[in-house]
Amino acid sequence: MTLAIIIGYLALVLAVGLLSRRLSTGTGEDWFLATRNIGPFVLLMTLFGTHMTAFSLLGASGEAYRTGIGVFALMASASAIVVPAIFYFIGLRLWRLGKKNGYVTQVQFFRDRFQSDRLGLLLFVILVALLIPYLLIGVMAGGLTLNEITNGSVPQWAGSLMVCAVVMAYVTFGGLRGTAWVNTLQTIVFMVLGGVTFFWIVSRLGGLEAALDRVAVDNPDLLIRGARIQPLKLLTYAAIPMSVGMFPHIFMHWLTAKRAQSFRLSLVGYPICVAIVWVPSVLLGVISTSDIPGLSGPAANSVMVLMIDKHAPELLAGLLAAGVFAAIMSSLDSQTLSLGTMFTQDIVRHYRKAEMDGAAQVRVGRLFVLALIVVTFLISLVAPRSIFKLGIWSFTGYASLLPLVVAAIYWKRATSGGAIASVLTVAVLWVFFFVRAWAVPGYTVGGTGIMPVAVILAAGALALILVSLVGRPPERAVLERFF
Amino acid sequence: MNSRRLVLIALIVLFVLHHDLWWWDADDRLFGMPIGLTWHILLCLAVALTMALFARIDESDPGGEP
Repeated sequence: MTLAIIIGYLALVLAVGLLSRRLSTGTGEDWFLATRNIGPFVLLMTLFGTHMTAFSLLGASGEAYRTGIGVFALMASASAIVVPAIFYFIGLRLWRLGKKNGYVTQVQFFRDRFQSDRLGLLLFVILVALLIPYLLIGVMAGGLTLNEITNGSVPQWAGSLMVCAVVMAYVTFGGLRGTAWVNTLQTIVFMVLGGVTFFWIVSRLGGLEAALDRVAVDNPDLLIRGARIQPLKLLTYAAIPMSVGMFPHIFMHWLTAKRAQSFRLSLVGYPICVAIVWVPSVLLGVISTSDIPGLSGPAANSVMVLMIDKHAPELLAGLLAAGVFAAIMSSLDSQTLSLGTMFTQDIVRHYRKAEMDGAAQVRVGRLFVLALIVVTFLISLVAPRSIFKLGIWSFTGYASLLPLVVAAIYWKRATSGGAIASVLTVAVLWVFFFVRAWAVPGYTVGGTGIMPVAVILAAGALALILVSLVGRPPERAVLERFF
Repeated sequence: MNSRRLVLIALIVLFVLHHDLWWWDADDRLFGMPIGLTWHILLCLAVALTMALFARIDESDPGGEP
C-alpha cells in the first residue's frame, strides 16, 4: 500500500507538470522564466517549497529528538525573520532590475553591475560547486527514505531513480512554468501531510499535553534550551538563512513574479508557512523521546519513520513518504533548472560567438538538465552517507556571499575588485573551516558557539569594503542603470 | 518615516526578541506547549503581521525602491 500511494503521488506530480505545458507560450523566456508571469500564491508556494527540503520534515524531528525544542528557535523562527526581510529588501529590488535589464541568471546581474567577466566566471564556478552537493543530498534522501519506510523492500537506488526520473520529466518538458505549478502542489502536499502525521500520532499518544507530560518526566531538559544550545550559537546561526539571498534557484523564482505586488503574499505568508511545517516536526521529535527512547547519532533522523511504523503503518507511511518526496522534489527541480539555465545562459550563450534563438536555448537547457540529473543519480550510487554533512556547508557558502548582493544593490561605491576580493575571501575561509570542522560534530569556532558562517560572512564583507574603497569608483553610466 | 525604515526597525526588534534568554530555562507551558517554543511561534506570527501592516510595495516605481 505504501508503494502504491507513492507511485500514485508521483503520477499526479507528473500529470501536473505535463499539463502546465499547455499554458506555455513556447518561447525561451517561458521555459526559463515562465514569461515573468507568476502570481502571488504560486510565487509563495514555489519560494517556500524550493527553500524547504526534506530536512524540515525528517531532519528537524531528528534534531529535536537530540536537542529539544530549541531547534525551532535555531532553525525555524530565525528563518521566519531573516527570509522575508531578504525577499523585501533584496528580492524585490532584484526583480525590478531583472525586469528592467532583462536578466535571466544571477551571474548576468553581477557581471553587468560590476562590469567584470572575470567576476562572472568566478561566481559561476562557486555557485555551481555549492549547489551540486545540495542536489546530491536530495537524490540520496529520496532513496533512503523510501528504503526505510518500506522496511528495506525498495532498495535505495530505486527510490533515487524514481525521484530523478519524475523531476527530469516535468522540468525538461515544462521548464520553469511546470516547475512552479508542481512546486505549488508539492508544497501544499508536504504542509498538509506533515500536519496529518502529527495529529494522528499525537492522538494515539493521548493528546499533546499527555505526551509532553511524559517528556517532562523522562527528558525534562528537552523542553527548555538549557545547556543544549549556546546563546552565541543561536545568535550566529541566524546567519545561515541569509543564504536565501544568494541561492541561484531562489533568484530565478524571484524573477518570475508578474508584478511587484506579487511579492506581498510571500512576505506575509512565509513566516506562517515556516510555523506550519516546523512546529509539528519539532514537537514529534521531542515527544518521540519517551515513545522510542535510546536512539543516538544519525539513527535519530529516522525517528519519524519509526513513529509511523509503530503507530500507523501502511496508509500513513505512504502519505508521509509522499510528503517527503514532495519536499525533496520541490527543491531538486528548481535547483536542476537553475543550474541548466546558468550553463545555458552564462557559459554557452555568453561565450558562444554566434547568436542563439529561444528554441536553441531551450534545447541546450533541456540537455543540461538531463545530463545533470543523470550524473547526480550516478554519483548518488557511490557517494558515502557522510555527504549529508555537506548541507550546512552549502548554506554557509551561500550565506557568506550575501554582502556581495547587498553591496551590488545598495552601495554605489562597490567595485569589481571589491567583489572579487570578497568572493575569494569567502572561498579561502570556507575551505579552512570546512577542513577543521569535518570530523568534529557540532563544530563552532573555538568551541565558543560561534558558527563559522558568521566569521566568513564578516570577513567577506570587510574585504569587499576595503578593496572597493581603495579602487576606482564605478562609472556613472553603469550606476545609473542600477540606482 | 518611510515604510522600508519602519519594516527594518520592526524586524530588528523582532530579531532581538528572538534571542529570548529570559525563557532559556523556563519550563512553563503556554497554549499547551513549552513557553520557549510558543514564544517563537508568536514571533513568526509577529513577522507576518509586521509585513502585512508596514511593507509597502510601490507598483509604479520601476527605479528599484521597494
